[in-house]
Amino acid sequence: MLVLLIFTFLMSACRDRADSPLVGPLPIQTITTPKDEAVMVYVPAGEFLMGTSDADIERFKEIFPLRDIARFDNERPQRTVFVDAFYIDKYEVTNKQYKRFLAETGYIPKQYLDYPPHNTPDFPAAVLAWEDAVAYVNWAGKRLPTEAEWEKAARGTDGRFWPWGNEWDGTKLSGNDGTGLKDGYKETAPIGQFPQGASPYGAHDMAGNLWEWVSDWYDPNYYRTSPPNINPKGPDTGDGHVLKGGGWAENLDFTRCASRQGGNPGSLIRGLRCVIDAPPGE
Amino acid sequence: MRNIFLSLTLIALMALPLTPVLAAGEVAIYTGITQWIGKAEADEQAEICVGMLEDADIAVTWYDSDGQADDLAAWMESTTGDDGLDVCVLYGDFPPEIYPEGNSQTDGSIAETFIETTDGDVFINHADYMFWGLSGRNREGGLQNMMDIDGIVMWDDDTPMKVTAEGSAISPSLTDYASDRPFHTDQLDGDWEIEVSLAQNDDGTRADPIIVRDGNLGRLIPTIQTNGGDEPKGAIAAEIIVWLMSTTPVEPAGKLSTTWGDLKAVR
Repeated sequence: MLVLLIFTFLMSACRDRADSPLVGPLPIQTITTPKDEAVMVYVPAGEFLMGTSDADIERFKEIFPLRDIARFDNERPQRTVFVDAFYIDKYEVTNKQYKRFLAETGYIPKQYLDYPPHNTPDFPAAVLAWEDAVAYVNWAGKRLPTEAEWEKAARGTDGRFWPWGNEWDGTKLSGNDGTGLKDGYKETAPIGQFPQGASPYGAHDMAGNLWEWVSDWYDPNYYRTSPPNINPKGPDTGDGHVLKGGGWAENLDFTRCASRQGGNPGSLIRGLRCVIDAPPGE
Repeated sequence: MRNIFLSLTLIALMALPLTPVLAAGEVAIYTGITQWIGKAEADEQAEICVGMLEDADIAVTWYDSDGQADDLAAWMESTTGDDGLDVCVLYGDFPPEIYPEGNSQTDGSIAETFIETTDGDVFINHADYMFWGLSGRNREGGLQNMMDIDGIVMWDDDTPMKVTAEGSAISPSLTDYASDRPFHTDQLDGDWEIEVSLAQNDDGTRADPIIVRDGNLGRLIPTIQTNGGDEPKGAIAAEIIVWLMSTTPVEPAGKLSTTWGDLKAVR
C-alpha cells in the first residue's frame, strides 16, 4: 500500500535515453521517492541472462589471460532468469542520505566509515555491515535488491559483461589504481560521475566505486544447484551475503556484472542501493 | 660465461632447500583479520604454509583469530633482535597492535622495530596493499613509514608478472600471473635494495614477489598481492621462507653470503 501511495501521489516521472551497444537505446523511466530523496530507475519484468557462460569463459581467457579461470566458478553456469518489474536507485546511497537516516532514527551502525574521504555528502556511503544496510532500506521503506534484480539492473537482458557492454573501458567507472590518474579520484568518486557507464536501464556506478550489498546469502556453489529461475532469492543460508559490482580498488574482472563475492569481505569497501516493487501492471 | 654462472647459481638454489636450516629463526602467521582475501581462504593458504614449514623443521606459530593480535605483538617483541631470522606473514591487514592505526606512530612501532635490527627479520604480505590496514586505516602511509621512503606506492592493477630464473628456482609453485599491488622497484631509496626479484614486469620496475632489504637490516617480501585465494599464496610463501632460512645464516652486518653474491652476479 505504501508503495502504491508513493506511486500515486508522489512520483515524478521523466524519460531520457541511454546508449547500449548490444540491445540499443532503452527508454529510461525514473521516479523520485520523497523520504530518501532518491531517484529510481525502472526495470521491466522479463527474462535476462544471469551468470557466466562457457563462451564467456573462453572470452575471459583472452581478456584476463593471467587470471585463474577458477576465479569465475561461482558465477557458473549461466541461466535464464525471470524477475518481476521493480525500481532500483539510480545511484548508490550517499552519505547525505545515510546520515539523514542516522539522525532521524538514532541508529548506531556497526561499521559505517564516517571519516574522510569516505563521508563526503555526495560520495557513496561506505556501509560495511550488511545489517546496517538493511536498517537503512527499512527506514526508507524499501528493500535490498535480490542478486538477480541487481544483476539485471546492471547488465540488462543480453548477458553483457559490464553495464555498458562487452569491452573494457576504464573511463566508464570509478575504478582506479589509487593514483587518481585514471578517473580523477584517488579512491571512491561522488555518485553519478560516469554517465557513459550507465546500465541499459540508466543505473549509474553499478561497476566500480563501492561493492554493493544484495539480500541473498552467499554460497559459491549455489548456481550449480539449479536454483529457481523465477524471482530467485538465493539460498536459505550461506557464508555472509553477496556483494556485487566491484569497488574503486578492484581490477577489471571484479567489476563485471556477473562477478560475486561473499564470505568475509575483509577490506572490500561496500555500500548499497535500494529497490521497490513496481506496482502491478507496470 | 654469464650463462655458466647462471646455471651454477640455479643448481645451487635448487639444492639449497634440501640443506639444513642454518638460521635460528621463527615464523608467525597472522590471519585474525584479513584484507582483500576472505578469512576462510586465508586460513586455507596459511594451513598449507604451516604444513610446508613444519615439514622443513621451521618453527611456526599461527595466530588465526583477531583476539590474538596482542599475542602476535608479544611474539614480535620477543623475536626482535634475537639473532634469528624471523618472519611475520600477514594476509593484507596490519594489526594496530604492532603498528598504531592512522600512522599515529610513524617511527618506533613494534613492527618497524622488528625490521630495524641486523638479524634481517621479514614481513611477508599477501593479498592487499602492504601495510594499508583494514578499510584504509593507514593507506599509503603505512608502507611509506615502514620503509621511510616518501611517496612509495604499490598501485598498478593487472600488471603482468613473469617469473624470473631465480623465482623459478626458489619457488616452484610460482607461475606467471597478474599482480594488483606490485612493488615499485623504481621507487626504492636510501639503503633499501633488491635482494631477489622472483617475478617482475618486462622492464623490472614492478615486481611481486620480491625480497627487498634495508641495508643490513630487515626485509619486506610482498608476495602475490592479489584479491582472493586463487593463487597458491601459502605454498609460495613457504618456499620463499624455506629458501631464505636455508641460505641466510645470521651473519655480521654488511657481509653477504656467497649465495647472495651469486644472485647479485646473476642480476
